[in-house]
Amino acid sequence: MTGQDATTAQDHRIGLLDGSHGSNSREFQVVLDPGANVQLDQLVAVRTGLPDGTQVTHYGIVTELRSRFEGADLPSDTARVVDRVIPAEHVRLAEVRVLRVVPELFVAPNAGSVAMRAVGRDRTIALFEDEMKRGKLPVGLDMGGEPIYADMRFVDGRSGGHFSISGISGVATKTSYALYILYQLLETEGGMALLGGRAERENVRALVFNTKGEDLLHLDRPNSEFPGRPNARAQWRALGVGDPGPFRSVRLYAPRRPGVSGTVPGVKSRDTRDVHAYGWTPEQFIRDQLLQFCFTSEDDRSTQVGFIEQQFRIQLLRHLRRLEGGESGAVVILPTVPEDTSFDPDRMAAREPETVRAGAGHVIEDFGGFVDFTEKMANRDDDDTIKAWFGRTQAGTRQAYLRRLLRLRKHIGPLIGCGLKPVSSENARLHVVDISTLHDDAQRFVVGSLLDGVWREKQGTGRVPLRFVVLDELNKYAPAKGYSPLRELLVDIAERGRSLGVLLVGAQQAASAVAPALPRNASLKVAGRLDANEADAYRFLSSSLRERASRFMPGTMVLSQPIVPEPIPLRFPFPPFATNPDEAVVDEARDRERTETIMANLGAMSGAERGL
Amino acid sequence: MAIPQTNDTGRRPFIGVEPFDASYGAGFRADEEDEHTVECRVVEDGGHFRIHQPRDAGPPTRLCFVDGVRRTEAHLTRTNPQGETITGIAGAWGAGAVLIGEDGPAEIGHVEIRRAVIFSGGEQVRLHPHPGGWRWTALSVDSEEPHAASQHLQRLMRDTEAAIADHLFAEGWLVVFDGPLHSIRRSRRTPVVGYVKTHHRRTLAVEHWQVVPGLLVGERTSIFAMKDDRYACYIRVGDPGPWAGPWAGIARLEVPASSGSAQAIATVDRAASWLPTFASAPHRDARAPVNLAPVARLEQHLHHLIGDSRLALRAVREAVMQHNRDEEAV
Repeated sequence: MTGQDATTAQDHRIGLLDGSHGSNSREFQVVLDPGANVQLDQLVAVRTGLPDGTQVTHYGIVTELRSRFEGADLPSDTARVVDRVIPAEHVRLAEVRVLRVVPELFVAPNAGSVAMRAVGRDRTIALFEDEMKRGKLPVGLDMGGEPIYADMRFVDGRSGGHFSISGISGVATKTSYALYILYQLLETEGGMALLGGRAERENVRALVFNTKGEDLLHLDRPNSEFPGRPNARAQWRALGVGDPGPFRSVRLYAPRRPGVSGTVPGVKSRDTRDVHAYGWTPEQFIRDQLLQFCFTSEDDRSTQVGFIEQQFRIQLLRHLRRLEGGESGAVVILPTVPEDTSFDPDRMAAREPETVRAGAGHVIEDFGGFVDFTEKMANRDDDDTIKAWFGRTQAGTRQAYLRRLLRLRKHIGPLIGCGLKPVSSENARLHVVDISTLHDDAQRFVVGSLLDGVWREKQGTGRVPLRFVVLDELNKYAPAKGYSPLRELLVDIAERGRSLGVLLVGAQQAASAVAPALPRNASLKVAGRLDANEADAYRFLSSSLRERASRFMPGTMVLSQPIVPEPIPLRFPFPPFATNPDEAVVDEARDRERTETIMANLGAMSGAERGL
Repeated sequence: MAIPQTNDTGRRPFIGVEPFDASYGAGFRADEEDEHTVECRVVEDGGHFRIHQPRDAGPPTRLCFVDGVRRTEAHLTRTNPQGETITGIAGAWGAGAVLIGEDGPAEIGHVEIRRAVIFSGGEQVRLHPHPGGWRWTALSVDSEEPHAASQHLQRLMRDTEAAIADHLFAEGWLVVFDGPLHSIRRSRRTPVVGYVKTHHRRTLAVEHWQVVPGLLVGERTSIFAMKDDRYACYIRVGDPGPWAGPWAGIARLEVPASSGSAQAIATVDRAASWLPTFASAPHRDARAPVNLAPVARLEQHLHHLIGDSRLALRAVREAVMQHNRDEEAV
């Protein structure tokens, strides 16, 4: 050890390795010096000399702290010690779990060794930052305000991918954390470098589903509460972001206003011109085979209904024609097609349909028209047609299928219609899709349809450009049990998505309620405040950390990543972008401009009164 | 045990249980017909033996307790080429103090732990230090009495205690010394207080002696002169419980006479006011209440520091082996 090292060791010394308790290769205990100020999660380094002269450093994290009177044998002795009747020594102990041993030798640190705070180079090694050779993403700040990094290889799909974020609604700040990660990736200089430079970043897309109020429809606006939190700016600076602000490249989508046939988005807290109405034309509905996502609740798949859907979907593709003279997406379903027409849905879907006149068959212009067509087919008394469209199912099953479709008319209806445009992945990096106003069935339909689109688009393109999908309440789309096309799609994305560059940032209240493949395939597991009853499902956390997580305050999370063997608690800073309508800073200049336009129009209409 | 009874108190005979754990023997052993009985002169209250309720001296400050422990760790023999064998011991002793200062917690300090090899017959044997951290001072006693070496060990412990006590009362502490003052051989000035837990003999005239069990907790008797060099009084340190005998919970305080009776009275008053605070509870001390809690803790600590007796014996054996090998090599 050089002289300088010795000084540093002295400065950062926190105590000695407990020899009465014993250490092992995984954990040890430090008897803290009287003046040592040590908290949970602090990083510790212990240098040990082996008999052969090898110097080994154990790096660990403080997982528990204890304090007691040495010499007080009985609980009642405490008062005697405090009253100065019996002498006792106040001892404080820190339990430390080993994160890393350098060089990698499986030995226990020596009893009596000096334990130091791991700072500087030691901290870097303790957290494996030296191993993050392909870039490191700042994922938060440790309890002492120092940045914590995740290995980019496990973020961008090279070695792993997907985030799984768990925690109780409201206090676990799951969505906020997902947005924090997106912000780091999509909006910061550091994120741009990690994604491979400006050009690469411009091709990255993130799809965020808004499930609560219109909260996420304001991400492009500054957060009005941010300036009142001077600490937040310093925290962002520590995380390498000098000038945090709103998301700059955002496109917002909402379903069209219910009961209105046009394409006006149904939003209350934003100007309708800021938001795009989304939906699918009947042609897209059929060619993208979105019918399967109409039947996603569990009972739909446990009966023959799913079978009918499959049969019916293929027949729709076979009989599909485009309505002549309209570019709006209306279709005609022919009564008969040549016998040699393929039964391969994907091949048929890829083919541009021919154009026919309205009289050639049944015209479908919206979801209602589609339901009507289904009803008409179900009521045919021609056995061959029934068999072709519904398979060999009983009349009762067909009625059940029809009843479900009728029920969906109200929920899914507004999403299907002529002239509607689906969510595009162009023009912006972040695409926020509001599904908060939709019925559960319609939410599943939208999520399934959009994910299927992303998934199909990425088949065959390789890992880049990356597609991030942020989805809360994963348990609703991929429940732990049962079968649905959406669940299978999500499981497929979880299992194969990382190599295809489709990266899921999934959140759920309880990991146990989600299809096990999702959390299992997530390289980065994050937990906020956990339900104490649920904590058993989080095996990646030590039992003490699980217990602790049930008391986390909003903004405190714990992150587990593949190369660091212990989960690290962290905090992330207050967002500079608005995460709900109340936080949004209203753009006054724009409002004024609009008011002026309206006034000018009014003035133009009233002419003579202009001077007023 | 027999309590001298000269006057009929009008009470019915009753039986008491000694509060000490039986393994410690009785705290009260002053049989009436003991040959060591002395009747000391009362030097306070004009020679009348009284009970005093000392003024409350406030919370204890600059009060310390000094005590020591010892242990014979191995019995040794040394056989010369003529086949004559002498005996010795390897032993350890330690002493220290509990300091109750102006503020802050009670602390253990001034601790000293030592080891020695003591042979009788005036011969010293030097053992090599053991790599495990054991080392022995070579000592001898001239006597060839079987217990001479052990007695010397006791003396060494008392000397160490005395040195610590000296040091502390030079610094102005009120020193409570666990045991009678006569073991501190040099003359002392107050404030040093000997604290005697067991009563081996009657020290007062019978009529005075009978007054002592009437003490309530915190009260003391008038002081009396023990030989020429010490003043003493009895105090009740704690309540031993309704089952206990009349002398349970009573301790004798001794102060040096050299400072004069006025100084002695001031010192015992202060001690009598403070000591009941430190009386131990029956559930945590086998010699409660008179074994003072800080002293008990100090003894426990010293025993702990002296170390494991099995390791000590092993170290002695190994050091002796080494010694014999060296002798052969010479």
